[in-house]
Amino acid sequence: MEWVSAFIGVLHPQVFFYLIVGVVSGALIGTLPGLTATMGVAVLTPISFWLEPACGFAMLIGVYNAAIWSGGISAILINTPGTPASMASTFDGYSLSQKGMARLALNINTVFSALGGVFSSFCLIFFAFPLADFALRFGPAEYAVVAFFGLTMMAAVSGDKPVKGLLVGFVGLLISTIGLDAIHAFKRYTFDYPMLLDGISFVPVMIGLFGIGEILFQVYTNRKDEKAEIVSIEKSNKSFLNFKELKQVFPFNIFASIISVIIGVIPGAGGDIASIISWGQCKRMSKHKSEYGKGSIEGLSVSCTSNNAVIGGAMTTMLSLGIPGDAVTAILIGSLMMYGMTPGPQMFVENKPFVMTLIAQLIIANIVICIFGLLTSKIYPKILRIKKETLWVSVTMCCFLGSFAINNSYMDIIAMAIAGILGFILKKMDFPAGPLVLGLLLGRLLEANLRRTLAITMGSYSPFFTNPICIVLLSVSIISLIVPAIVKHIKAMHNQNKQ
Amino acid sequence: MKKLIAVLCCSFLFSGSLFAAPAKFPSKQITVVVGYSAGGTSDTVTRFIAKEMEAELGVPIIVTNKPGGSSAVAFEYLASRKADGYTLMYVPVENAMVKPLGFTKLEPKDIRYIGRAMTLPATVTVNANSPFKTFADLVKYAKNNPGKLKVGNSGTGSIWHFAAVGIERAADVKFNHVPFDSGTAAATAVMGGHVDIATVAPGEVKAGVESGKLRVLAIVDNQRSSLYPKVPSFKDLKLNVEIMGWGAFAVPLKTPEEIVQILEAAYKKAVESQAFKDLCVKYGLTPAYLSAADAQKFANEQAQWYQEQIPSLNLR
Repeated sequence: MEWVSAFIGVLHPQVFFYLIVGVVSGALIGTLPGLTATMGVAVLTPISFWLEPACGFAMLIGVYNAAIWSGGISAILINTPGTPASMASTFDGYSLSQKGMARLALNINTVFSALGGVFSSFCLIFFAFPLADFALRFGPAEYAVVAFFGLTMMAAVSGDKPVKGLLVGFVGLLISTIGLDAIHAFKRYTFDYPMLLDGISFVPVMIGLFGIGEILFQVYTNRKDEKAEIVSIEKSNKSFLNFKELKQVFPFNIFASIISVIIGVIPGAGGDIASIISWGQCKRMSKHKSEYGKGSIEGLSVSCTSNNAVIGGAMTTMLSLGIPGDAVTAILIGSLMMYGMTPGPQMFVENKPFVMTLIAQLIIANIVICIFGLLTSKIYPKILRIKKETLWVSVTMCCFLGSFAINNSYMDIIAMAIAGILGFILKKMDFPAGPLVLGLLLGRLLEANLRRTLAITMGSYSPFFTNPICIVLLSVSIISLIVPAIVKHIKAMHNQNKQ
Repeated sequence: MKKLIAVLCCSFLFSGSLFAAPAKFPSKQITVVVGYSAGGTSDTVTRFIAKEMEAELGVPIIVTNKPGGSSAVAFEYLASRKADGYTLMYVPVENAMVKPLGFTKLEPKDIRYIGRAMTLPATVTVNANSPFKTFADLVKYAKNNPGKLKVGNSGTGSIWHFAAVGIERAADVKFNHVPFDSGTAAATAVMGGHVDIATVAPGEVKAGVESGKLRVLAIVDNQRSSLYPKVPSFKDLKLNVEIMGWGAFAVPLKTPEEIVQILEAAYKKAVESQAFKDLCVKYGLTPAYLSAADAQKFANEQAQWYQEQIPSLNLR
């Protein structure tokens, strides 16, 4: 009964209005590369203080969910992730839209994002406290192992060029060492330049590599015979998966949702890590491995599901422990406190109706996104019909603006531009760019936590081999690295015997 | 004729600028720079004060985040701005530390303080299941087991690292310092039992204490915290550690005196308002207003102190 009233409360015209305002502005923010969900929520938070808590939060929740969803739109259409969480959506989404199936890809993004979001909201309803206790068991050793596990995905995101992928990945790891080191605060490669103290930000590099890199490559390969391509944009009328395909992708999505909720629950690990890990892990388990990265509907649906499934996980940590599960929830904690509520277990007692309202808002926001997304998916691919030159210029402008907006720092623009040139060179020489971003994303997490573990144990590596979570994750990583090689070897032997 | 009109028009234009009174300060939008990301305590406090000052000064005040290097990036930005009073900065305690830490060559005397708003103490926080019920228990154990207790802080060379070092010196014990990325991360590690103690801000352990997962043993200050009135302060424990966080506002060094006075008055009104005091209670901050001159003197002394202390930590 309480739930019914919570849902009815969200459908109250005023609350619902702000939810839609949130979804629409979130969709815009998420689509523009560089404007992240974190930024959207941060910008709208002061505005939300003018409103009633339920209305203000409806808006913020709408922005949060919609920005993560719509980050996939630019990933699919222009190969530039709108938010870091949709990085993995570029792998398959962009290939699909280049094959003329942009609308299908957009609809997959919408439907599976919403499903992931709803799934994780239900996890929040039913398992909030067990999940929160699980999150607390993640200490430095566990974080280090998660980062290591993430790095083993380098092989997966390298496609069929593992050696090139690893090389690029190590470049990413090296870049991640720039700035103050996390343990001794030692300045590394900063050249006494304060802007470099915090290292190279992840988002500008990502935007540069994928966005600018792709544009430079298109400019480079541009031929006069583009007419043919324009026709190909809407080659396919297919707007969604058929039943057989749904059956094929379904188990992977359940798996990806579970992984993502867990990663979302862990403080500090967000949608970017979750979607790459789910994508890589599903690729390993799939029967259609070779399609991944070349327009696999399975791969796209998995990455879309997982970045939105993180939200429920992150909200779980925030609501049940009062600890931010990711950057956005860190800001949401601040707004809850401004409303006079302290996130944490007692919030479930003192402000139970509000917690229920929040969860109801999460679910309804996802439904709104689903409807909004399906209705607009016909419009978005029209972007591709714009004259190429116009598209290039506007995307480039967005990339510059977005990079600056993150920290109001020129350093980030420089980093973005260099990454763009690097992205072009990599693409030209047929190196995958994914591993570089992965290395940059996880390098610091791995290094800081490995060294933190050693600081705690005074130099002993034992936690990695005695903590249950570490043992499980390390074994999975090692098995998933070794087994494919062995299988390949056995197959080769088998083939030889046949001959 | 046309020429004459043109000349007349021109002279009219010039006369306007000649006879116009000197523009009253402030006549346009003011920007406050914060050296931390949106959403944290520094950011919240700044936005709050900015809103209060806006009402006082009658022009919009916007807050911009320029995170990086413990606010050293924002510090250098402020010092490079025109000294016209339209760029302000939220200056935290780190402002007195960034030079000795080697992050920048600037120090507090390179900018002009317009006032200090508040201070914030460190807490000594342990897991709720910890055998230490009082601060004395903890000291007793630490004396018998030097270097055994793992103390989480918000990063090497950060203010909460100093707080832990100050406690070590005051109680004559030895800790194993474990740096985390933030105070909240250190508090979370105590909740999970990965480290024994966190010496971080009262607000950063609030959620954990209220959910019964953390226990605050002492407040590293001369007075008790508004969030934990039952927890003894260091003064109650007859210990003396003068290490705390603080937040002030500053403008570029050469800002004219009359503009500084206008800003100082607005700032004073903002931080002495009841609304700001309520905010402090919520976040575990101690309202502690200092005038422009006093804040400048205080910051210079702090810089002097950290200049002497930081090399003795052997950070490198």
